[in-house]
Amino acid sequence: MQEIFPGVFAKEKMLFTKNFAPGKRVYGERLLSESGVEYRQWDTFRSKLAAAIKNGLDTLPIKAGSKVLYLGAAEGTTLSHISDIIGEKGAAFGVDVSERVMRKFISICEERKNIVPILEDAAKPWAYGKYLEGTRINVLYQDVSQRDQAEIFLKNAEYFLPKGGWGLLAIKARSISQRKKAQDIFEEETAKLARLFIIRQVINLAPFEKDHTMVLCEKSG
Amino acid sequence: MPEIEQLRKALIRKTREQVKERYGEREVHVIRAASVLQDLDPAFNLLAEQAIEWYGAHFPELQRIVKDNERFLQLVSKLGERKNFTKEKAGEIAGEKAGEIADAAGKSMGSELGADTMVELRALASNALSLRQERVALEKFIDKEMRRIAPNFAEVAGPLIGAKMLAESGSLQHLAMQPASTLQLLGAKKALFRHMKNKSIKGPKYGFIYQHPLLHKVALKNRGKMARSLGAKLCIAVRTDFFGSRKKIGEELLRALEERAKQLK
Ligand SMILES: C[S@@+](CC[C@H](N)C(=O)[O-])C[C@H]1O[C@@H](n2cnc3c(N)ncnc32)[C@H](O)[C@@H]1O
Repeated sequence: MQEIFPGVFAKEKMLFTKNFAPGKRVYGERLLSESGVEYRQWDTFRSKLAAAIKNGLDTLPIKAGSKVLYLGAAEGTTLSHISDIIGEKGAAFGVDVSERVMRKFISICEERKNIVPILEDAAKPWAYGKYLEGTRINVLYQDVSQRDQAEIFLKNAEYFLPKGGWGLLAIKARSISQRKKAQDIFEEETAKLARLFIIRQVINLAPFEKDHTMVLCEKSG
Repeated sequence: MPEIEQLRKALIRKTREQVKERYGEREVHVIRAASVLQDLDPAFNLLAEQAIEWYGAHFPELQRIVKDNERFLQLVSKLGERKNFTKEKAGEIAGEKAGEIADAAGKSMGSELGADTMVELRALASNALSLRQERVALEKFIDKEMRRIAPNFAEVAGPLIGAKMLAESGSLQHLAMQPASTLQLLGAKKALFRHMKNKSIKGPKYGFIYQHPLLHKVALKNRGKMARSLGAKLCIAVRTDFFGSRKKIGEELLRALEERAKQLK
């Protein structure tokens, strides 16, 4: 095992994180024990953050102790690995609007003491602001596949992310338009972020996801 | 971090309640019913074919005269042995075909069946028929529920098509968040995948809404256009039902669609 970012490991071209809930799987991933430590394989086809790391993300702002606001938690696939990385002292708030995915997600929150479920619409940050009052968020992560994804991201950043905080935004071109070229969409959406962020890196997620990019950015204002 | 731990526990409890509430009340049951409905017809056909095939040993000529499975099974379950197929009795079920049936029964080449066998056969026929009754009852249930849960959407889509769309997307909320183009294609997953794998196969123009009567009122070459209008109105209807005031706009939307269908005739 080689540690490529704090808490993220690579072996034979595969990614792993240390299992924060030993013995338990979240989405059928492989478990691997090495020198008494249990690792979970992090599937680059199932998680856009893993795909971004695989495709050369320079900085991973999520580390031990981070406080993460995660919009579009879904069934918690990616969040479970974030939970592994941030560990005992970290906390991640997972927001999703769909009660269908929440059912699975709640059971993962029960197994992992550093993730908190919030069943709300990410486009209405005021609805869950009260839960985040006592926590200083360092990283805003978003993957909601909605047409107004950039606006949702900016709105949440305004509410919760202090200056110098990091953002990771997964952009799905096909949520925005079926007709325009993916590249044009990425540029337009990334340009919108410039209002609050300095763009640090834009990573295409092919071949793991089609027409998706991950934007890494840092809040400037 | 004792505060976060407390918050986490409280939010798990609260989210659990929210999920339970939303799950318990609204659309779960109609979604189940729609999915059962889609299984009922194939189940009926399977049993019907078996029963008809079996009965053929006794009265093979009947298959050629009575093509409708339901009618056939009614005859078997009510009358049993072919010697009971008098013109009068068969007429109650098969109408004008009764003469022909009675005639065929008289000179049938089928073999005699034991009494036990006949009991089994009649039971099979009547059980298969009960699936038909179940279907009627289920359709009524779906109709009522859809009009309660999403009145505008049910009005525009028709309760049965609406229920299938709802079942496919999983929740009213999810349905209400889809763009019109997705609603138009909902239920066409297979065709969509075929198209994505091989671009020379045309992309689908409609999913469940293919069954919508208005789509069949327009010229064939205009169906795509009609489907698009239908998708757009469905989108407005479901959003009004889910997010909106629940104002009654279904009839108005439907009228606009009927106008559109006239243009596209
Ligand atoms: C592509 S999935 C996210 C997958 C997840 N990030 C992972 O890698 O495990 C998108 C999710 O965003 C959720 N979503 C869509 N719109 C939303 C909104 N306005 N607020 C919160 N969640 C939303 C959907 O319910 C869905 O679960």
